Amino acid sequence: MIENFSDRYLLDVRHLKVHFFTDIGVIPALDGVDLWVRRGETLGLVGESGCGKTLMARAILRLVPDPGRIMDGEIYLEGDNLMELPEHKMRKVRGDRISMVFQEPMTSLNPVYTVGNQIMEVLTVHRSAMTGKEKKERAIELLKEVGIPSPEQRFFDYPRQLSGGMRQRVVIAMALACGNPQLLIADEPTTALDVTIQAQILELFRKIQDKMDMSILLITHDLGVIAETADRVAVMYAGTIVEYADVVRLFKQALHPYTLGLLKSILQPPQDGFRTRLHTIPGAVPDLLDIRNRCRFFSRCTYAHENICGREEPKMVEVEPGHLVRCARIEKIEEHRSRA
Amino acid sequence: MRSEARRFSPFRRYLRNRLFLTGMIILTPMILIAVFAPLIAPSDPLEIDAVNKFQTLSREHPFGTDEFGRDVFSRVVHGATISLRVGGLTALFTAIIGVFIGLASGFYKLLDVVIMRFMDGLMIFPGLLLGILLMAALGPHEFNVVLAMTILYTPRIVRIVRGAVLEIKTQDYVDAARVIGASNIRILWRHILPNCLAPLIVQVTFGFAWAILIESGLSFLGLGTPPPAPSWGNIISDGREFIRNAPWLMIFPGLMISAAVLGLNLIGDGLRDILDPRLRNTRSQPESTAG
Repeated sequence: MIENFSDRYLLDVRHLKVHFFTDIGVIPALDGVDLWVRRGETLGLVGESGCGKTLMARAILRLVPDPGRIMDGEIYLEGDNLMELPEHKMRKVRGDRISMVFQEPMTSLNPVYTVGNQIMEVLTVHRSAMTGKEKKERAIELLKEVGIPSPEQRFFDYPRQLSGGMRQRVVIAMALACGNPQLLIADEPTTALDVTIQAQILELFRKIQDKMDMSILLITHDLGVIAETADRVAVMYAGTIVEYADVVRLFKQALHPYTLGLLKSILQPPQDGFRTRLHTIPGAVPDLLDIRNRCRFFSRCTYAHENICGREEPKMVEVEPGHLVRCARIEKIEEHRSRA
Repeated sequence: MRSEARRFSPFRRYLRNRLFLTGMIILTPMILIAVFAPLIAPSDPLEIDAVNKFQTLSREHPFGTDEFGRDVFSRVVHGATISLRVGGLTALFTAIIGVFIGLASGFYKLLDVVIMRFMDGLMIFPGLLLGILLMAALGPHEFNVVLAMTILYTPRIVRIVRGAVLEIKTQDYVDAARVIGASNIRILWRHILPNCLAPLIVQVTFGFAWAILIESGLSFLGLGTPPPAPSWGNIISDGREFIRNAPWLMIFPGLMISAAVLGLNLIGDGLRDILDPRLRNTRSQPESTAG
């Protein structure tokens, strides 16, 4: 790769490896993940539960939960290698340059403090020069910005007094508190919300992204959310990225068998009075303790060939600029598609 | 709905709890007696009056007099000061030390192993036995009683706090605090500590009751607050030999100990129900001792 490759992207994660040291053995939960996010774009990260999406988010912040450890890799944020920062400098990055929004707005706010107080805490951590009054004004301004009505009163509310959608707005306000985060990691931000609220929150993301020119790493398992918000998509499976494509191409010309399976698993309305059976991907995620020297999707793949896929892990192939696939049977799949 | 939540004053929640209310009714007069002891007691609790020894109950001596003619009522009233002071200080010290050690133990895995084994080591001794040992080593002084009991009771507070920390540190809002860049210290003080106050307050209340009992037990054995200070345990100890002829020497301080411990336990139970309903069935009983 080119020497100053990392300067072209806001976030550039290279060959990230996170291992979990458990009693039953070392689990390679992230196994050499490459990921990059451009300035101002939304990268959707999709995959099923347990494939490492959330771990990826935490690893970028260097907050891997026990007994996990980042074993290898580089994480560049605007050219700064986060892996080389000492912990106290890393703390300055969290919440200021990289913010994160969690899945569960019900539990991600501390029940003993008012929402205003919690927004002000972000400023206490990162903008120690601000006076209490400035912080309060800023917090109210933020509440207004994320669309909370009568922010002056809501400032004094406790989380339990707000609905799920409102709490998620508060969490987003906290993420924006420092002014202009370069990267916002949203970990399934709408999964716990009902559909109308979900649309509002996604709209809010779009609005603040336009306004602040920040990048969003949107983690989700909902392809509908991806279709609506993402510019590019990374599909993750069992600790690796299996396909990169921009969002239109992913929905039209996905190549990896796993992505194809995911796309087929979207709920369809009944057609001609017949309910179609929901497509599922057969089999289960492989045991991460035992995946050496073959494709991770091997056991569940309809295109798998013992001599090709069962011998070694396929390499990432760039089928077109910006469309990368980790599959050794691309020709077969393309052939199959053109026939259909 | 929001305004209703505000109108419902938290104070009423406490008074509506029968356990807490009963406990307060018992304990409040006792605290008043302890604070205003010099005003309430008719005479000096140490004043010896050899002529009037072993007087039965009378208008002049409501609780009679002891072997030196000292007014038992005055002694019991002043005893409230000593017992509540010793118990209260013990509760305070165990709370402070327990919180520090408990937070550290629950939060830092490596420290946890060392601290908890040490606490287990302290806890294998029956309370009164280790109390006797410590008092024999430290010497008779009121502060030493507090010190000994603090050493004895701290492990229980540590366990409670540690347990709460272990649970709270996995909460999403602790993660969220880390994600906004909060340091460990900030997370411990601002996010974890306030959320484990409920079980702590309950346990400290039980500790208060426990300390009053143990102090009396130690005093009864002659190892507590040094005589002639009129702690309740001392009064009972002094009256032990004369129980057949002058039972009032033991009855009144005994009643006071029972009432104080009962009141505090009721308050503790009440607080537990109000602050931390999940703990309802895990009552932690102070062990019973001599008395």
